[in-house]
Amino acid sequence: MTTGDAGGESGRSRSEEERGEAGEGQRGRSAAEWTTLAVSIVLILGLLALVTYVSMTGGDDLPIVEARPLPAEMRHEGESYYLPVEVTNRGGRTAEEVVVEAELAGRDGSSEASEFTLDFLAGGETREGTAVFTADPSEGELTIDVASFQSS
Amino acid sequence: MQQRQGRSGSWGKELQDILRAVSGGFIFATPLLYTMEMWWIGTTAELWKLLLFLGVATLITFALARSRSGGFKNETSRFASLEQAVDGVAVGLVGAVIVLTVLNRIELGDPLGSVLGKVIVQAVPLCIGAAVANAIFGPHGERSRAGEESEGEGQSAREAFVADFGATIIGAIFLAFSIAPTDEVPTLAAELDYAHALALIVLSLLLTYSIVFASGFGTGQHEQQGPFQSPLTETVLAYLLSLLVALVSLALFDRFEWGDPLGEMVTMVLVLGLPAAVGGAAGRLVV
Repeated sequence: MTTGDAGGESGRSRSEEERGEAGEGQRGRSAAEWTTLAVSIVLILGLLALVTYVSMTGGDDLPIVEARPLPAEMRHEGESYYLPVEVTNRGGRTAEEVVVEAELAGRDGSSEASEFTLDFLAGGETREGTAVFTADPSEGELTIDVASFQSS
Repeated sequence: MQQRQGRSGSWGKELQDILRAVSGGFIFATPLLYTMEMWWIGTTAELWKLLLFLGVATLITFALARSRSGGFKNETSRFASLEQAVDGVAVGLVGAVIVLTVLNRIELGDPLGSVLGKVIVQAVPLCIGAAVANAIFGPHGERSRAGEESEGEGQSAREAFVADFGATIIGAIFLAFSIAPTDEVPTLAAELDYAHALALIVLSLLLTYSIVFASGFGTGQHEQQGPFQSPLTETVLAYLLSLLVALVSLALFDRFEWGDPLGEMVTMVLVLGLPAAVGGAAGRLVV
C-alpha cells in the first residue's frame, strides 16, 4: 500500500512536469528572458576571454619580489619615523608571507632593525608596508631587503 | 498564479526570478563570502582549476533546475534548465564582483589574475545557492510555511508584528553567530573606508529587500496590516534589527573592549550587519 502511494505521488509529479514542458513549448520565451540570457552569455564569454588573456600574457614565472623605500612619503610622529616601503612582485605567481627587513645604521655606529610581513602578494601586485625607526632614516645608511617568501 | 504573472508583465516576472536567484545565492553563499581562505584561494589557485570548479557548479545548477524543486524559475524543460544554469552563473559572477568590491577585497589596479580568481571562486556558491532558490522559497515565491495562510487570517497586526520581529532576530542570529567570532570581521572592518561603508549599507538594504520580496511579498498572501507589512518598512526595520543582532553578537563574543574607538565598532557592526541582514530577511522562511 505504501509503495502504491509512492508510485502515485511520483506519477502525479511526472505528469505535472510534462504539462509544464508542453505549456512552455507553446508559449515561447519573452523578450525579457532572451535579454537576460543574452546578457548572461556575454558575461560568461567575457569571463572566458579574460581568463584566456591572463593565461596567455600573465606568465607562470616564479615570484620576483622587490622592495624599495619611499622617503618622500615618510612621516615623523612623536619619537618615531614611519617610512613607507613599496613591495612589488614582478613574477607571475603569488608570493605568500613576504618578510621585508629594514636596517638603519646611524653615523654614530648605532643600528636599528625593523621588519614587516605581507600575507599575500599576487603576481604583478604592489603593496605597501611601513618600517618604523626611532632615528631619522634620511640621516643614516638604510638597507631594505626582502628576507623570505613562500610560493606554491 | 499564471494570470497574476501575465498581468505583471514578462519583465516583472523575469526580475522576480532573478531576485529569487540572487536571494537564494546570498543565503547560501554569505558564510563563504566572509571566509578569508576563500579570498586566498582566489589569489593562489590556478585559474583553470577555478574555471573547472565553476563548470561543475554550472552542471549542478542545470541538474537542480531540471528537478521539480530546484532552480529559480517555474519550468523544468531542458532549455529552461540550461537557461537557468547560464543565468545562475552570471548572477554568481555579478554578485561576486559587487560583494568583493563593496568589502574592499578587489579594487581597480589589482592584478587581473587575482581579481578573476576571487570572483570565480565566490561565484560558485552564489550560483549553487541560486540553483536551490526554489527549494528555499517555494517554486512560486509563496512562503513555504505550512498552514501559514490559515494562521495568518486570525492574526492581529500586533501578532503579525511580533512574529516577523522574532523571525528576523532568529534568522539574523542564525547567520551572524557563525561569523561573529571569526577574524574576518575585524579584518574587513579595518580596510573599510567611508565610501565602502556606505556601499555596504546600501548593499545590505538591497539584499534585505530582495529576500523579503522573494520570500513572498507581492503574492497577495500576506495581507495583515502592521509595521512589518509593507516591503519598504519591512526592509528598513529588518536591517535595523539585524544591525542590533550584529552588535549584540559581537559584544557577547567579546569582540569589543572598553575604550575601542567608536568608528571601529561601527564598521565591525556594519560588516557583520550584511550577513545578519541576509539571515534576518530569510528568517521568516525558517520560523
